[in-house]
Amino acid sequence: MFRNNRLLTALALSVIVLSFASAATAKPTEYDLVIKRLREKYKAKKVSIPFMSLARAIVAVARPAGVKAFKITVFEGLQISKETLDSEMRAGLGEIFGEDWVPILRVRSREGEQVYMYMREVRQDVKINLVTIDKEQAVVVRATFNPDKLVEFMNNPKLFGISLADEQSNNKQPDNKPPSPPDDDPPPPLIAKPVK
Amino acid sequence: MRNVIRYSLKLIPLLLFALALSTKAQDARLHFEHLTGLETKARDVVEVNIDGKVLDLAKRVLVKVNDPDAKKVGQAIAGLQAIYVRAYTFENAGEYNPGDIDQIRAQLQGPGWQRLANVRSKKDNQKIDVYTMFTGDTMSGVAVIMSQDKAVALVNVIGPIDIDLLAELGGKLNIPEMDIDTGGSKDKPKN
Repeated sequence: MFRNNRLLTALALSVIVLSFASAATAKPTEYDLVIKRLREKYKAKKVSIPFMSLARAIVAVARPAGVKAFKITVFEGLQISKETLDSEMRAGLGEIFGEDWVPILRVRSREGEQVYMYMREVRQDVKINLVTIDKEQAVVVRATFNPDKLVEFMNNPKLFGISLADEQSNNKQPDNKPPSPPDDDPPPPLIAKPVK
Repeated sequence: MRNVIRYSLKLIPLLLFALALSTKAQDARLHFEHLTGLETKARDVVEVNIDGKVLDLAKRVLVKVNDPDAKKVGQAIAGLQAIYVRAYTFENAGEYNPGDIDQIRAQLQGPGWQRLANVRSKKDNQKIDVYTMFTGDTMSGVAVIMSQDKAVALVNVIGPIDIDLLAELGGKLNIPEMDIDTGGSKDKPKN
């Protein structure tokens, strides 16, 4: 009995040590590097989002619309220079995101608004990184989704096995047609009468 | 050894032909690298690059979706290789150097490009040029240059586009309605 206890303790300790070691040696992701850059270079302060861990756990289990994982970090109090922010961000993000990442979108405004979107295909999944800066605030989003599952969801929208299709089709208006007028109003003429 | 040389000599014309074809296909790509003049002076800049894997992904998704209109868009862009957009907005009129856009227009004077439309308006000094490139009977590229006093937009589409199919989808999926004259309805009065 005593021997078994020692064995279990040794096993538990080795698991803990190994998990810490792997966490310590794990290469930081592009997302982590962007966060680090915003914190260090622009003195950004992280804003905590309530129930974020719960939301991430639910998404990891339910995988709505093929989304396997997501992470959002919101910052405030960025100390930026509007004149140099775009060139600094372009250079910085260029270093962080390697050749595997495709820079799909870049928007910058002189008022200090910036949007950068990078995309990468990893086996059957697609990874997206979005960085948005609006004056003193910044949002960094990372999401991984399976495009095939996204198509499945679009064709047959279901969440936790509950179909959302009926609700959608009931509310759906026909394409390019305005909502039907109230019953007391006569329908508008289809062909305009010529003016004499 | 002689056989190797003989076969190699036979392969050279084939390789040259393949090279010529690949060069022809790449010609539709405009070089936006030298637009720093516009970039630095612009108040707002939008840059969109959809090519390679991203475009393949879009095509794959559109074709699989059950919606028939989405499927048609997927078919219309099936051969597309890339879409590049650059849009610049300026604070004041005449803030940018028109020479920067002329440099892009000069690229469109190269072989293969044909000017399809040319719109000039005194209002805001608006100029719109639409160029197309054809490889045989297939459209292999489109370039649109829009400029006015306070804005410049450049669009470059590489690869064949089924215009008829896109015209069919006009008014749906946020695709603007296109009035394309197919030459079949001459008796139809035009307003």
